[in-house]
Amino acid sequence: MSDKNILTKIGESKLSRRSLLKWTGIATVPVIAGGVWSTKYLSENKNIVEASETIVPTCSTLDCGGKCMIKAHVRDGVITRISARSDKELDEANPYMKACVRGRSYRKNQYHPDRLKYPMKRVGKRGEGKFERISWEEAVATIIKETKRITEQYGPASRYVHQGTAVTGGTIGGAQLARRLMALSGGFLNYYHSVSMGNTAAATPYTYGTHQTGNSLDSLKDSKLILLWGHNPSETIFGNTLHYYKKLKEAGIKIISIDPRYSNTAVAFADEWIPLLPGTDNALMDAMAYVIVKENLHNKEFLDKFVVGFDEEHMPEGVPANESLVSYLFGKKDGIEKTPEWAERICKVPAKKITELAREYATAKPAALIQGWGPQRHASGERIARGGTMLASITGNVGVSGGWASGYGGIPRKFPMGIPVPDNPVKESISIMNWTDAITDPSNVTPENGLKDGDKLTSNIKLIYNLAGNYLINQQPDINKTKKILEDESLVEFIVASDHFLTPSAKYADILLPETTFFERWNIGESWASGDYIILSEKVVENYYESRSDYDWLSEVAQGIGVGQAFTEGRDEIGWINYILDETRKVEPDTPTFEEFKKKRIHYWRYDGPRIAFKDQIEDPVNHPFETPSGKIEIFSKRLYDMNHSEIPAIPTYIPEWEGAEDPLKATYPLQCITWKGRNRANSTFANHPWLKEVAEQVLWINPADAEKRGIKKGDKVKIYNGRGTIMIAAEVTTRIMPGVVAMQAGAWYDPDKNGVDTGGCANVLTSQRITPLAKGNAHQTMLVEVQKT
Amino acid sequence: MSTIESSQWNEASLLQNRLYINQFIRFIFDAPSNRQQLITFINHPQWKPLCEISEGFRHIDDSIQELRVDNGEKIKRLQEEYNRLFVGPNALPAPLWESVYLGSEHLLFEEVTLEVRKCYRQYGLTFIRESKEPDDHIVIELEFLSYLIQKTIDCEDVETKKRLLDDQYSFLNNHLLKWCPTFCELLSKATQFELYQGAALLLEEYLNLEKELIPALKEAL
Repeated sequence: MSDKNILTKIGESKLSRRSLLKWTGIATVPVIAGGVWSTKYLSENKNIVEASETIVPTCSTLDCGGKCMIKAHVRDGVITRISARSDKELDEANPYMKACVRGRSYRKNQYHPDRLKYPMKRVGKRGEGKFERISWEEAVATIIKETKRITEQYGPASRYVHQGTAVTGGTIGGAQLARRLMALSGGFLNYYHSVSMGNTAAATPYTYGTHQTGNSLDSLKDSKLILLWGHNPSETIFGNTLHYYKKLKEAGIKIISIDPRYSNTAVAFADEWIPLLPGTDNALMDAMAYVIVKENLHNKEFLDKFVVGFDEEHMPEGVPANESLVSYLFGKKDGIEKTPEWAERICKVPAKKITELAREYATAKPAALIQGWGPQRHASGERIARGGTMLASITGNVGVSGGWASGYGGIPRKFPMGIPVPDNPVKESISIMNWTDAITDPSNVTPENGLKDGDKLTSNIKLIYNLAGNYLINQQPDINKTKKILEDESLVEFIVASDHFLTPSAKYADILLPETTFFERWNIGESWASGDYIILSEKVVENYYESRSDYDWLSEVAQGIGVGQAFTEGRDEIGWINYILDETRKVEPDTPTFEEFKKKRIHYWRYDGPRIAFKDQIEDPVNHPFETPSGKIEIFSKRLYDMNHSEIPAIPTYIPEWEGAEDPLKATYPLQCITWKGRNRANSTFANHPWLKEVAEQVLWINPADAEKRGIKKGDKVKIYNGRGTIMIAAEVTTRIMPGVVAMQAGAWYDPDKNGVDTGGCANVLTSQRITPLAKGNAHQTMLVEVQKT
Repeated sequence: MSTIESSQWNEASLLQNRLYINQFIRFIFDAPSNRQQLITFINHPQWKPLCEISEGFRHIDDSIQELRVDNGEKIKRLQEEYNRLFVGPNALPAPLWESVYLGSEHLLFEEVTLEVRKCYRQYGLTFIRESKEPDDHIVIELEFLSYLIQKTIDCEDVETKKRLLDDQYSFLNNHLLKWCPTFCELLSKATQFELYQGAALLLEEYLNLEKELIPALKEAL
């Protein structure tokens, strides 16, 4: 290199060899910045050992029904791929699903560049999404300080741990741990009601005395006919259900799907699809019952022996005449016979089809009418749940293999114990539907609309722990109303949230914490009911950036508020896994030890043959009465009758629901809107997942008849709106949704534009906070909307 | 000064100056800016000439000059911009990791991350937060390059020097140059702040300079 070259061509304006040389040449001191500043991220290391690949069987702890065992291929501390179980690993006695699009793409979530990396504090207005990185020390100190301050100022009843179900697929979860912490330190306002299935869980026991009305699915092989009533396991991934449906299909057992939407389940398994208007299920059920009774297809012997309320001869004491099912069906009181023609006008299923369906169901012995949980998330959901139990009872499909008692459909299986939450010193609890009222106006929260174990609330909610939950905003009905409440920093004074991403809910945090994933902490994966196994969810890689497990930081908070020892009992995460297994072993002696579990990875719980709900009650009624007041199946419930409530009939009659098919509000908002759970998400988890977004675009399904009226073509941007909000997404014009109904997938992330119009397609912009009458629960599926081309 | 002496002098200072630019870029991308540190940079007598030969430096200079009079607001906005661009919690518009651009799934911790790790290991180096954070962050990759440059400066043996330059060149071509142009493009689109637009420009200028320089240095040996 010569000076001649160095000094030619000066005056370059971009960095280049020449220009640099020029600069270098005129520099008097060559070392311009040595030592001024430098990073030091690489260090010399004499002990580098390159690890070979290991394959670790594990499972997610997400609220995903599949709960498949996946295999994490780990090389040098990095998960390089995920694989599913092989066919030969299937245990027919305890099947678990092969990983689907969710499981196979877990890496996308794990290593997403947008994952939360550091603790953050809010710097903008609440909800604005402006945060600043802070240290864990500062985050924990702030949480301690605010928790103490609010507790002193407003009392323990001002503390609320919100629904955080994203990790309920694991035995240990943040929300539960936070409740433990709160219970140990004075108490908190608790909530009840499952927004997944709370309405049927509350209603079903009025018929049977319990909601555990499901048979084990291996018994379905004895069915002659299966009605999937609003049940869509192909997309919800409902436990290991699909394993069995595939076999039923192969065995040629007839399956009928009753659903406003031609779901993937209907596509894959059904011989027939019967669409009905949402929330009108009871009209269809009643007309089926009408045909069955009229044509003498009901099981008289069964009804005589086991059922209260079928006809006037089988009614409880003290009830006036004409309150029985038969009286209702034949219009003894209201003068209206519940004929198929009557029902057709309401539910839009042709009368001829109703008659056929009724005959088919009553004569296929046994037949299983399996209710999904979508229909019960309606304003009329409790009545729909009981309507199913009525049909099962009049046809004698209860307590027999191949039948199905209907209603909730719970299957009591073996489950591991949890980390205990001690008694909560705050006795009052609210329905999950009351939490925003409990913030703004606790006097609105009364026993009539959801308050339990107390007459009134003693404080507003002032402190919220929202751990692994998107229910603060995204999954909560009426987002626009909710966000206004949360944005007011004088109402809830402090919100701590932990998550993997800046979800629409996490945006409302004051302190936002990066949570570890199931690949980074120890836990036990639990199957949804019908699955009978637990899987060790192992820590397979280091925590991503500064993420920490909620147990870690909650332990520090516990320490800070003076209950450290009580909270941890000296255990770390593995200590608690040991505890859980040891406690579970006291009930289920074959529960493995931690060491055994680490070797076998999956533990199957075995049973002696299939479980048939109410088998004992039917085979030996004298010694096994139903757990109802009468000891029998109560089609007519005296308890409900005594409530004397216009929306709580004693028998499951059809009552038009608010914002339903017959609401006069249809003049303004003529379309019913429903949502479905997609195969690419577990609730709202994975809504930001790049692959899974491609699996199903967030679009509005609209029938060609409705689309044509509005000049809407496939792919058009449409505005979906009602009095509560507006969404703008693309339309999918399809006959897979019946006329009069539009549908979109649940769980998309709320993404408002400047005018507050949601562009993400989050249906909760449109849903209502109105409660169901009996459970005081949610009606996420009941809403009227109008759709317009934009 | 004889020709030989002066060329040796220049080679050493050339290497030092590469190191300086490398170091400066790392400073910008490593953390939210510190005003005092930025002012120290521009106050150095050699800063101005540097701006004359680089568009990236000129933009950066403009933006730092603005900070001379600042009641704290300007630097705060700059820091917020850094957080928005590179820290989160919002979606990051211009991710700072190679694997996001070159990995088959566009994630962190991809095969390419492990390849980068391998390059470090060949020199007995490990990233101090290995397995918690990916090894292929722009700042770490640049630090590795600067490590090699420093080693070249310290090295007396011509053959070793050649090998060091070869390794610099292949790391540059197999990694930095493969993804940084896209990153720089994303970054300049994502920000209105001249400091970061300048940084995007500077990074690209610098890598192109290295591409030109390393073979020339090798040739001159």
